[in-house]
Amino acid sequence: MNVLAMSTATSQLSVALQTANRTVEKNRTDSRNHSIHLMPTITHILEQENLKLNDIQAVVVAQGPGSYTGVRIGVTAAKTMAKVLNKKLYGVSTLALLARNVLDSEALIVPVIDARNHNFFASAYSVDEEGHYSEQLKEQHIDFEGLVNQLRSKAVKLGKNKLIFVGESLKEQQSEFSDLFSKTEVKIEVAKDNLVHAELAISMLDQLTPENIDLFVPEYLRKTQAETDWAKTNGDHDGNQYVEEV
Amino acid sequence: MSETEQNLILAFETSCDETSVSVVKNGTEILSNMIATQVKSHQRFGGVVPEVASRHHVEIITMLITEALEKAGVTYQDLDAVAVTKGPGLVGALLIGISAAKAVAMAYNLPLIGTNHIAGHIKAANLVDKVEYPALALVVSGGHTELVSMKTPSDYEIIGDTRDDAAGESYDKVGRVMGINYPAGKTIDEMAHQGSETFDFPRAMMKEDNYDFSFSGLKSAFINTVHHADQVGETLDKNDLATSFQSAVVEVLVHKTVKAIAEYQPKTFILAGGVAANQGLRQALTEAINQQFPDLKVIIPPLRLCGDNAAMIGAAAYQQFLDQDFSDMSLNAEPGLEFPYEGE
Repeated sequence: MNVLAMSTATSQLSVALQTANRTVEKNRTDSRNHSIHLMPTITHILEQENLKLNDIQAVVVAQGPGSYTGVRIGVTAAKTMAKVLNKKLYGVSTLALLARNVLDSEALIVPVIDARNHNFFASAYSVDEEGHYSEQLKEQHIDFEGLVNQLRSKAVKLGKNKLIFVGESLKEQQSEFSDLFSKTEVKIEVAKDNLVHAELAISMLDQLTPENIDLFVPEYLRKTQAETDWAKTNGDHDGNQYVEEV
Repeated sequence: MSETEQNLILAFETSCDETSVSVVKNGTEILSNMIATQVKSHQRFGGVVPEVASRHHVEIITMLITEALEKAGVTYQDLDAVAVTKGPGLVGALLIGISAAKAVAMAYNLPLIGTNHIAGHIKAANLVDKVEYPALALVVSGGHTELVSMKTPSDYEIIGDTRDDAAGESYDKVGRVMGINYPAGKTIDEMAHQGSETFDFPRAMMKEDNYDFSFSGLKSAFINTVHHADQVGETLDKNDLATSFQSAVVEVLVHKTVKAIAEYQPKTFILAGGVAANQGLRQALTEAINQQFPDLKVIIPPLRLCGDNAAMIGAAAYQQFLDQDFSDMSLNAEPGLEFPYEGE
């Protein structure tokens, strides 16, 4: 089966293509402008493997969390391709992808994406010796202290004495994390590979179910500030139809 | 494309708070023009919130593509090109249309056309009648107030624009002061027809020897009038306020437009943009032009084609198709895109 996978959720762009022969991946870490680079990268990778977009059977996309605009570029491209060519569409969590960069059954694996203002999109995974990943902490938008508290109790509960953080620009935060765990037995490490790999999305395909393409939207993990503020005085009206055809 | 063949463009428009997908034939005939508005959502916030707008566009974009093709009765194989608004507009919103348009273009190996949103508003005229050149357009919307001269169907030059607020923006701002829900243009227009001009609001830049506009002084005068009345406990007639405000806006727009027509001698005049739906403006401009330039062809698109829609993008993109003005897959949003100024 030919599968195209992409991630535009973080500052790096990753596109992967699985063909009958092999899986190839192209990454760009030099630019945040995914709108410019996503489609030319897809064109390039297809040409390299002598395939057309229509030769693909499925499209997989990092659904978020991550940069809102970035996620939307990939999600819109992926869902439109799948829709107009009648292909299967799969969404995969950006954090689940990051977690799969680490294979250490002793550790609690902590994928994090900087959400600015000292907040993070984060979750936690364990992996067994066969390479099966289990989500141990629900994906959330959380501040630094809240995350540390949750990780601390989760590590104790699971008997893990090692946390491996995985995600972009963690070098700056590593010492901060280490300080917070300094009085505990828990050892802090940062993963060797901190990039989101589209190739790993293809490897997760057998665990995913196809999406309803029209209804497929990014996983933001966070309402907009305007909606949060509005809900404070008006209550939650999530069922409301705010977009209507005229 | 030979003379007898038909040209079909699938067009996308997502520059602000309308998601629209359309199929346009030969740049003049609408086969479908699906429009989804988010106005109910943004009414919660009193104006368009860019992040919310972008989120809504993703929610509905593929449904509209399917509907646009079904309604037009065409398949992807029938298409000749895919067009999309590249700017001006909200960057995050523009990127949804651009990403979707690229995906369709790549999927069916079609040329991609990045279109200027304002050119779209002007070219909406082609969906109504044949435009003869040179042409002159007054574009009035929530974000723009400009007079555009076109020597040919492919050339757009700004001969005058607003130095501060756009006309539509000033409607929303004074609307807020009167407690009118966003967007306020339509309500103020209706109120203006019921009141009389009892307040003397300023007409900016009327005497200056250029085609530029300014609406912030008018807005401030309006707000001061209302606040002053509030302070002394006086209640002002809102319809009279609306009439007085609208008269000031319309008078300046008409004055500068008439002056520009006299100098540029266009064969066609086009009123374009969301505020072109304003009845007061439509009437006043039509009357002034009929009186002073009875032979001038005037095109004022119907209401549905004045607001943001993808058919107008298809109409503008058709000229680009003829000019072979295509974009490649690296097309990006240009939120601040502008026509060149005359002589630039």
